[in-house]
Amino acid sequence: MNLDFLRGRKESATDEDHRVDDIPEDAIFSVRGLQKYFDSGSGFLGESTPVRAVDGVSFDVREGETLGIVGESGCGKSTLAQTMIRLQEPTAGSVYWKGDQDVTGFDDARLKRWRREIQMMFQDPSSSFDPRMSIGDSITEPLRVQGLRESAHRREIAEDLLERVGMSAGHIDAYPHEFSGGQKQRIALARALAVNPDMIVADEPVSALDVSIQSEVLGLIDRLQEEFGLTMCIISHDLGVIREVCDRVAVMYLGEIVEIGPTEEVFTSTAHPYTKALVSSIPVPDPTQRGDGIELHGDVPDPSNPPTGCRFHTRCPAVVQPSELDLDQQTYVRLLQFTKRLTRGIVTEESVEGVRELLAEQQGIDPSDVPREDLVEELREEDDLPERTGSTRVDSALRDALAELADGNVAAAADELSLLATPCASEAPEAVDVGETDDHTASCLRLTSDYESVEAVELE
Amino acid sequence: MSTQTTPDATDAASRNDDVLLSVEDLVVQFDTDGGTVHAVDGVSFDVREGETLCIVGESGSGKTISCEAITRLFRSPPGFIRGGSVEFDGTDLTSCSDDRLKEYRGNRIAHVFQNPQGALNPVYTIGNQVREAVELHTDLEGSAIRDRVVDLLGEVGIPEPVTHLGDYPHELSGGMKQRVVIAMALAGEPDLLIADEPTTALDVTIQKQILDLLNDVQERHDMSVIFVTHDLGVVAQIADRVLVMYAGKVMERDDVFDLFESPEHPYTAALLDCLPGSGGLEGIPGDLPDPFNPPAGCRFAERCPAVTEECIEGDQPPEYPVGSDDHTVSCVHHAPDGDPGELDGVTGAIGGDES
Ligand code: SF4
Ligand code: SF4
Repeated sequence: MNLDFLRGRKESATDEDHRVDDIPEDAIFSVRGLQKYFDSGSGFLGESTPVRAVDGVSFDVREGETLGIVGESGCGKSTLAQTMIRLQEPTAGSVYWKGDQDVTGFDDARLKRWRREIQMMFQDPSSSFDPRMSIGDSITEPLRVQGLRESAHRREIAEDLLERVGMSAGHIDAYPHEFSGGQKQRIALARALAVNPDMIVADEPVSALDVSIQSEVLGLIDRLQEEFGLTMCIISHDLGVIREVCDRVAVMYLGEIVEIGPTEEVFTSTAHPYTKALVSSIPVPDPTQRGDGIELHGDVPDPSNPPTGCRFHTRCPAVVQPSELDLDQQTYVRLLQFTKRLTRGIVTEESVEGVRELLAEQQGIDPSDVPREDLVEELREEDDLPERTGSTRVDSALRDALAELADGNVAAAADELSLLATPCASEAPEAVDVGETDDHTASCLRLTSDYESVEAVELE
Repeated sequence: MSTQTTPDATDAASRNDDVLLSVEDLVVQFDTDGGTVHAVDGVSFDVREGETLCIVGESGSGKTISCEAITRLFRSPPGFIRGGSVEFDGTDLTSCSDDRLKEYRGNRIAHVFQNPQGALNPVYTIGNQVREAVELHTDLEGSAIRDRVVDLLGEVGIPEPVTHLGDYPHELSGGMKQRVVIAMALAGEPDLLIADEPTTALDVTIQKQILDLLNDVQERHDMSVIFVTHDLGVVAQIADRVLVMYAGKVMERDDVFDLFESPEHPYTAALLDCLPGSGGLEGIPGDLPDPFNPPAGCRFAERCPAVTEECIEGDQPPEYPVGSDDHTVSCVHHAPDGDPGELDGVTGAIGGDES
């Protein structure tokens, strides 16, 4: 099928004639330092802290490859998808097309043309079809808009595309509601291909589908990718999906890329503790391997107030202990998390009062008569904190902290535990080269020579 | 009605003592403007004391409706139980009045759903909601109620439960909400917990937390659990026994270890092949049969690579016993006069790595 006529109006000269410095030769799409902040609009005293959904992301998509972007909800991947194709305006940073065209500087006309060179696929295919238009018309609508007037020709193209996505050309006059979700997603692919795009960005393209259909659509994407040499960027929360179809993968956590590299290498020689946890959380379809893997505690923190230093340090099972300490890693993690709850306002004076009242009720006495030791012990238990940690300094600091807490002095309690402070909270890790290939990087202090490696700690 | 059988009478008798729930030949239909949806079409299964039965299937399999039928959770009309029985600890729930049934719900049979949001009232604090569950399902009084609420929240892994009593649902993450819902489900110390895709809406790291939690509480309370899911990875992590459903019928049932080692039904095999990393990117070509007008013969026939003439006539093939007591397969090639060899290369291809 020759769609070159579409390219007749391709601009001959580009806006700038040199590639931006650090962009590799084969990159078709590049993102540098991209930021997208949202006004959360609900800050204290009128000042609002922005939600830092995407916070300094850089990557390249190379010609003919499929790059996956994976992360859990709240990591910013969907905002990234929207921002990088300018469905939303970035707060800062740049997007380059073919190495030298600054997408962030495109005017409306150029942007409109660019939207043909780059096509989107979304999670819910239903919403992207006009229910009153036959699928044949839907598929070739972009061609009509572009001036392909001859309807017989359009029809021919639509039939051809339908067959390429594994559907019968006979479906051409049917309407969207007559198709299942999987079929609609195939039709969406056909439509994306109609304008012969240079790149397709797919946001969760199969998450709404049943597994058997998912696998079919992924197989199709894989095949088309080879056949047309398509360049793709697939955004998904599903590591399995990414592993099936992507050549390279970028792992996001709280608005940042923490690891990026060739897919198999990221999955098998995982470098970053977060990626390790993510990979080991995928339920293994083998009942003889149960309950293995790293369990991450807690939830993803609020992106309007991300943790300092390494953003993963509040949940990281490998978080670095201060050099003076050598506690059992799990004990350390538990204590550190307790400290975080104190400083992040989760344990408060009121919650201590709640515990006091509970004890008073149990003992049938007035809250003010609850013995301090009882309260301290109850608080220790509530938080599942050990009596002995293996370090007398830590033991006594913890005792003092709980005593302060029992008196309602939350800040003082946190101060007592300052000896637990981790370097991961003060030092933001840079991306460093890892693995065998030269395009696998990850951002974790333990990957630098200054700290013990991740392998040295027991992750559990 | 067709004779869907348990493997054989003696096995059934020897197992009867520890069977808590026995669903027999259940038929559930929905009367809609477009016609009658045959959602569950003659499904039988047992749940034994202390075990986890996973019901696995894709959309349209009838897995959720089968579970909702146990305590009649779906709205009626349009949904009707048109046949079969649901015997729970000696009582047929299908013939219970709505009031009787209410006594079972929450007390002895508790439900956890995919979307915790729907199970929590947005205007009450979680402390109040768990308290309500405790008041409704136990005889506790006074300060004992509050103690129990705190214990329950602690048990499901809410850190500093006392701190969180005053939180509203919207202040909690999805994972935390699901923990609260599980706490409420545990309030009445149920004998049977029915969890319908409880981790599907959660991120994978949170899913892992919740699966570990469910495994934990099940062991601690020695509860029976029915776990409904589409995800075979999750099944492998949590099931004792597995029921594979497709288009309202049971395709295969087996002990979890055997099922993953040697699936015998073409559908199970295909489903396993769809798992990421298993090398198959073919999916299962074709679509579900029409739920308004299911075809004769095997429901999977249209998509089955091993289909023969026999498959497209009569009823769904009976559940033929295969190997161990617990293993049955609804496929003509496993009939006493059938040839399981016909499935070579279909069920045998599992985990096969062509690359
Ligand atoms: S820098 Fe520290 S907290 Fe961050 S991933 Fe590495 S060890 Fe964990
Ligand atoms: S009965 Fe026939 S169609 Fe059904 S699974 Fe067996 S071979 Fe396939």
